[in-house]
Amino acid sequence: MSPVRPRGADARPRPWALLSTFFLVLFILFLGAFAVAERGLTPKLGIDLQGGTRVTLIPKGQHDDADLRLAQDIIRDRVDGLGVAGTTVVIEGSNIVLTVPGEDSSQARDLGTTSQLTIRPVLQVQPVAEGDLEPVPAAKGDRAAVAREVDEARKVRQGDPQQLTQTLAAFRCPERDVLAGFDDPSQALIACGDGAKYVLGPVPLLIDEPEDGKRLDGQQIVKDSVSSGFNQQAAKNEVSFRFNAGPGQQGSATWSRLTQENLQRQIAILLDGQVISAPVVQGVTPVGSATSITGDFTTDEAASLAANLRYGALPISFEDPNVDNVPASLGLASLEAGLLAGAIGFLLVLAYSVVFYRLLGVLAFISLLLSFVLTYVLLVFLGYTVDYSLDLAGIAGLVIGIGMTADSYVVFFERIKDELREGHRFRSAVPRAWKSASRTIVTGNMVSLIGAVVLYLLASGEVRGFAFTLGLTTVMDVLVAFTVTWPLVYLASTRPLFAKTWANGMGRMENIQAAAAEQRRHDRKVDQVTEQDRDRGVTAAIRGPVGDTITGPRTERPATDEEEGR
Amino acid sequence: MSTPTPTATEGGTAVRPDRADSLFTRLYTGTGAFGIVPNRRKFYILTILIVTVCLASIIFRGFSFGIDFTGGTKLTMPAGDIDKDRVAVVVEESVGEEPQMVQIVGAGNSRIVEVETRFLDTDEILAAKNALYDEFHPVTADGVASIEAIGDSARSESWGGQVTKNALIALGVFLVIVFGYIAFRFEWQMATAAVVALLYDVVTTAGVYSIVGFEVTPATVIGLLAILGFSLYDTVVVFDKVEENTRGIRHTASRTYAEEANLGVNQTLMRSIHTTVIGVLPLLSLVVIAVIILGVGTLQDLALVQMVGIITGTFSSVFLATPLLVTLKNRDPEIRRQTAKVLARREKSEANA
Repeated sequence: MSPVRPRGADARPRPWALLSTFFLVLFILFLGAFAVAERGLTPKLGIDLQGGTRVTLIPKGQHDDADLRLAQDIIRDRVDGLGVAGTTVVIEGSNIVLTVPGEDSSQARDLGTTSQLTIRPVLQVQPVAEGDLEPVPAAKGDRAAVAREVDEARKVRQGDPQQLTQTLAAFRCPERDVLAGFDDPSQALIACGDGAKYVLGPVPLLIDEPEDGKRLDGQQIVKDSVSSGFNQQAAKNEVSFRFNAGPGQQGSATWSRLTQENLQRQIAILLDGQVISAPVVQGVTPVGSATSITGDFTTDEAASLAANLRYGALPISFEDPNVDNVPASLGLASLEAGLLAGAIGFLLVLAYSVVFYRLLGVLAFISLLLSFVLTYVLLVFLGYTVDYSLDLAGIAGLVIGIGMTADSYVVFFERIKDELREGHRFRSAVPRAWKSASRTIVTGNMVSLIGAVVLYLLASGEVRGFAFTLGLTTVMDVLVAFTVTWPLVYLASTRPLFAKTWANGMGRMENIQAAAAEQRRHDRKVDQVTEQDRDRGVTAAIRGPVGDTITGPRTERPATDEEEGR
Repeated sequence: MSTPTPTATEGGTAVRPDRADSLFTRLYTGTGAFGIVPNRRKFYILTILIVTVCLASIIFRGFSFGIDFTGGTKLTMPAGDIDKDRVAVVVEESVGEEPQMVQIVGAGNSRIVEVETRFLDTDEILAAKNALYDEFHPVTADGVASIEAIGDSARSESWGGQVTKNALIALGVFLVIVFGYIAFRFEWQMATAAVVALLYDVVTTAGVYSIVGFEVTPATVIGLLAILGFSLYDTVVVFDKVEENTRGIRHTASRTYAEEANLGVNQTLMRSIHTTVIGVLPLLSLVVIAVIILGVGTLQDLALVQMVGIITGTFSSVFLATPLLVTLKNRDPEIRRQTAKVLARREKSEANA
């Protein structure tokens, strides 16, 4: 009996075209990955695999996206100020996540804290030529070294105002201010910023405070009072704010006195030791009233100054940071564990496939391996193009993806069994099975993909890495099933070898298949006979030994296309 | 439509699935010998029982929440042959408070000491690390004694809450989208049955965590969501087959919807088992390797919840989703009419026999 041409199924499968498409895509991806990769063909690794620190900053309360992005920019600036190479600052969901590779990252923890806003009267100003900065060697994480640097900087930049005024001319502003946030508020200070260098007086002590008591800083600004906008009369941008007043709150009174003492002189507003604005006092602010700063700044600069006054630079305040500091050795152990688990997982799946599907299992395993290679190359590529870094959870996603990918060929092979059960020979069963299996594979993977995408978009932290690789393997799974598994199995089905049950592992189906085929032949004959020889009464003789070998209810109904067609 | 129902043989008895075949052969060949849909009441009762136990445990026993939910700081250090009581003393002296937990996890060269304390600030962490370094001189991967061999992680209390909130939102969105997709791709009864099965998966997986007392971390919460995809995949494959079997059922009178559905489950049973085993094998290796090499951690959390989820997910696809589908379908007047027709016809042919 010649093999039945499957009707409706892919009439002329072009296995070689599909296979070459796959390898072409793989080749192009390889080239792409080679072109962008910096350290050979390895994906970028997350800090939990290579060691390093990850700081997750969770905003307190409500905030909008613009604030979050502003906070991200400010934190990025701070990171650059620290000079730690390879640090990334990204927004994940509503969090800001900093990752610092390498082991030296103790400073990263405090980047999300609101910085100190202080106010000092200006004693002397000199402009700074652009780019004329004193380079500073980065102190590497060592607390003692940082403390020494701070001490030295204090010796030079703090102390007697007279002496500082003499030093100012020769002073070169440092590239990175080691004294930022570490200056002594009770002493005069040389500070830079806003294109100038300044000698500044001590931070004014709040009225009624003892010598070592509280001083005037951003804490005393009433946050809701800060606003920025355009002043029509002055035709300039303006920022206005108010200090607190009331029992035990002397901010406003202190400010009032300060404006009185410094009328027609400059007052500097400093953020972490850097001058962000030094307006000239035009009038005395009465106690309890608002002060406004009008200047030649742009709308953005006004908004930024307002934000600084409100929050001390960061437009959002954050909870205690979540920090993960992973020693490189632990990261390496995790990586090894993940890879080992993956390798063992692969082998177990191979063993299982071969036991149940013999040579077909081997073919399936080849597609599984190719799917992995494709995913790996893609991960390398994404690592250097969209800055994707593979983390521990991502590896878990890949390992779990092995099972999900393997499932596609299980669906396919079980469909082949369905077709055998209906009496088709192996060779014709394969394309028929693929027709229905491919539909199932697409539907099933669609669901997985929806899950992965929802997870990726809504989840935070390490889980995104998991969702990402899971989604990626799902897509690769479909791709490989269509361009590798199907053509390979189709090609195999055209060889006599694979029709043998020891090769395709479908031995137990043999009886059922034979019986169903027999039944179909008989059905056909019966029908022919009944039509042609109805009068001669031959019918009964043909019903023979068929019934008792048919075990499946499936065969009880006229299921095959041929029969239904008539 | 000439093929008769089980052919009458010489003996005159109707041929039923061959009971002599081994359980495995029947399973393997998918010849439909398992009465899953006919016994659906039993499975409903079983389901209600399981869900009740799980809910009871969740309500009365609760979960054992990890540091991510309670807030705090965790220090990790290569263990070598360190005495963990000494570690506790050293940490207590440096931060002025007894650690909440000190344990040694992992195996071989990867053994590490984990110390959990209240939330420490940067200076306190540094003090604790310095004290630990002075006392034990932990060694990094390069074999050099260094303070950098000590890792730490800090969690604010709100972290776990935020992750859980996000997870619940994700769950809701996922259920809605998936309901829409299945209703569009198949029909609303299948979508309903699939979503109920998913809810069952969530409850039982959470229940297993509560009963066994596995630590709940954000990775667990999210892993729970990921398994829903897996479970749903399984359900979709079964439904795909059921749909194929029941296509055009309104115009035939040979088998009822319930029978076709049961056949569909049986035909995909072996696949469900293969899928479950194949899905579990890599996870199992992940759990085992992760525990042996690393002790507890992200890998193990994710793998463990997936493993629990795959097993309950397979159960729900086979024993819950399809029976539910049949129950829902049987409320459809057209399906009812068709069922009545089949039964009437069968009665007639039996009377004739």
